[in-house]
Amino acid sequence: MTKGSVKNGQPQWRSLSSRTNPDQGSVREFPEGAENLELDGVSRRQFLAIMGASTALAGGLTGCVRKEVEHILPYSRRPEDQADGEARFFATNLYVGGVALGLLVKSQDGRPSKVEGNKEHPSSGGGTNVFAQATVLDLYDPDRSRTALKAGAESTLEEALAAVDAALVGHKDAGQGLAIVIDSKPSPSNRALLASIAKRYAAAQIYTHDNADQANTREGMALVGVASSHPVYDLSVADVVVSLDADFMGTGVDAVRLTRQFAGRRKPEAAKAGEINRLYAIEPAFTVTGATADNRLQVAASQVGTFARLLASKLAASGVTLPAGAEALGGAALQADETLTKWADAVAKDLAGKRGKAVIIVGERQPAWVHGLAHRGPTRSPRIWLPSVASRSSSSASASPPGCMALPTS
Amino acid sequence: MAQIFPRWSNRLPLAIAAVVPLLVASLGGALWYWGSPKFTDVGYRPEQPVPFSHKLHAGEMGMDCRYCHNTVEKAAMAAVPPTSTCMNCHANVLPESAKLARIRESAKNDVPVKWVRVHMLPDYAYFNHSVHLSAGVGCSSCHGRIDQMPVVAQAKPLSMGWCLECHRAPEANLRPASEITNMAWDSTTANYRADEDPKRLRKVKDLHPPEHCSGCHR
Ligand code: HEC
Ligand code: HEC
Ligand code: HEC
Ligand code: HEC
Ligand code: HEC
Repeated sequence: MTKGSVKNGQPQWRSLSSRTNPDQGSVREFPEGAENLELDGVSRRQFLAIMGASTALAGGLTGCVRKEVEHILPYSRRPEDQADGEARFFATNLYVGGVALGLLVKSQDGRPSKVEGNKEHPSSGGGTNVFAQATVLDLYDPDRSRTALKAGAESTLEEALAAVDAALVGHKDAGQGLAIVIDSKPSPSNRALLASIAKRYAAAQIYTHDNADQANTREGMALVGVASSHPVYDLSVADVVVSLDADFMGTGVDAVRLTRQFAGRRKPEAAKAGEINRLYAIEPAFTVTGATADNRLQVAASQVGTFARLLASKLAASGVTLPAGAEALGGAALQADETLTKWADAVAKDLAGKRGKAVIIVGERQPAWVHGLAHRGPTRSPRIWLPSVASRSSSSASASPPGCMALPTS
Repeated sequence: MAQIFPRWSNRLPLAIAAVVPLLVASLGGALWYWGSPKFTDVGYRPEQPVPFSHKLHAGEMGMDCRYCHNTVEKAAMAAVPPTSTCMNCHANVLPESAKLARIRESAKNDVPVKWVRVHMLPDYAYFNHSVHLSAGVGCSSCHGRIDQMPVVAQAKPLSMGWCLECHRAPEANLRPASEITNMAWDSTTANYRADEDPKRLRKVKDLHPPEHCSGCHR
């Protein structure tokens, strides 16, 4: 059909162009002669006929012959507890940014097939994130090193160990000229090992390599006198959460646990009991956290620190004592536009009434002094920003701001 | 002008009309019979890389199936045993036998023996040994007299119709848990009725073998 058809005396049209210009007819969907198109001497009809016949033969007759030969290759020595064909689950951890995510890896006949969260691990509670889900592909990465390398060439683990032995034996002294590069895992046994190396080879250099290093956060903690630590927040007791460029429900560290805790205070039951939490997000980019926030303010990245300083001064004005020096963090004189000031006013008012039930989280992208301000400000003495949590065992926990447990990072 | 076709050719269409359907029907019948698993699969008896004999080990020596197929009661697969199971004995029994060379090589170099699979369902059909054993179905109901086979052969068609035949009325195929691997056991000679057995862990009325498609095609 090339012209607009006529139905009930009314011309029918199929496109705006055929309506405005009914004589032109509708545009052809297929090119001219498509139904007779021939490729390699086989017409469309012939092609379908041949396909049909071969499909019928393939489906109809192969069902009637013995299936192809298959083999069973059992282990020569089967690992204990292994039943062929049954999945086994291994508990493990994934470290990103110094935080361990508890995982269960499903393995089928020795092949890892799926990574899921470990319900019994506090950082996961059964959940995972994109990094964890992707790690299963890592295991099949052809570029993944399967053996020790020596100057880029394949070597063996035994050779590598022998070389390390020889090098260390050569270092009977304090280890001058010896450097160790290691990935950062804040596990107690790792720390103990590194400590014993440091003790034996006092002059050796130990470098950690981590592409999700939380350097700014750590430095910020150091500013308030908690060295080599990162904060661990408890959102389950927080009525108000303020995110300063922190995507703690998306790409931030510990996002799985924080999301679960945050969501736990967003249930309809919580709303009925008047316990629903409130989230302010002050951020330069779109994030999952910003999208979830009750109130979101988009500012330039450099303005996030300005906001933190404004907030600190508003809190000080509303009777919260800031320790000496807090105002000085951030350097130059405070300059803020109207929106920022209005927001700082509102947030400060909300926070002032929430002593011990509010959390301010600063994103890793922000410079150390913003982190320092968030911890330093009113958190130390009047416990208003961070809710207090019984400090869990940790060497430096006593010095950490209340409400955030400080864990040594290295 | 001479006739091209003789007179009898007038009857040709009639003859064709009578014969062709017959041919088609017999071809269909032949495919249905000789093409069915009953014909193509039963008796399948491939040569194995090691001349392992169930007749000797399970029959004459009376070893329990579960000594070797030890996951059969708790897993979907009965699993062919690892080489180490054979070496439990053959490290000392016939340590020089040429027939066992492949086994010794596997144990020494930690490489698997490449057995040929005998019983094989297509991937779209789900089967689980442990469920059947805990319900009280014996090996011999599905694998025949393995203890009399020097080389394992498929005894039952393993076709869908065969599975369903038992699923519709499993009572006659159930036995006490203690007789699961007893190849010689027979319900008539043992005069056993599953629904009257007070010792059964799982009562017959509690068994629900699936007849709906998704039970086996998951
Ligand atoms: C000494 C160890 C051993 C014992 C005991 C044993 N088997 Fe086997 N079985 C094997 C090995 C090895 C294979 C693989 C080689 C083969 O198919 O013959 C096998 C294969 C089989 C197969 C065929 C698997 C396939 O490829 O489909 C069946 C069925 C089987 N056994 C059943 C039994 C039953 C029933 C018993 C008890 C009566 C039993 N087996 C006892 C070692 C054993
Ligand atoms: C419980 C001990 C035991 C186990 C386990 C066992 N066998 Fe045997 N096997 C024997 C005995 C006993 C003989 C017969 C010796 C004789 O004929 O004198 C034998 C004979 C054999 C023979 C014949 C060898 C010949 O030279 O005639 C083969 C092949 C064999 N076994 C394979 C296997 C395999 C494969 C396995 C593992 C799946 C296995 N056996 C497990 C005890 C065992
Ligand atoms: C209800 C029927 C049934 C019973 C009972 C049964 N099997 Fe099977 N068996 C099968 C089927 C069907 C297969 C093929 C499975 C497949 O291809 O996935 C099989 C496969 C096997 C295999 C090959 C390896 C594997 O696991 O796929 C072995 C070995 C085996 N059976 C041993 C045994 C033993 C030993 C017993 C008794 C303890 C037993 N079977 C009881 C139906 C049965
Ligand atoms: C000799 C009897 C018998 C034969 C043959 C048999 N089954 Fe069954 N099957 C049972 C019984 C009895 C149950 C019920 C178990 C229960 O309810 O716990 C069962 C249960 C099942 C189940 C349900 C298991 C589950 O996990 O829910 C599946 C699937 C199944 N059979 C598949 C098969 C297939 C596929 C075959 C053919 C290759 C087959 N069965 C042959 C007796 C048999
Ligand atoms: C008790 C288990 C069981 C149930 C229930 C079952 N099937 Fe099957 N089905 C099988 C097995 C086993 C095979 C493979 C048979 C073979 O390899 O010859 C099969 C094969 C098939 C095939 C392929 C046949 C061929 O010749 O290739 C189709 C189609 C199929 N089933 C459809 C169904 C439908 C539809 C239902 C529901 C009405 C159903 N099945 C229920 C076990 C089952």
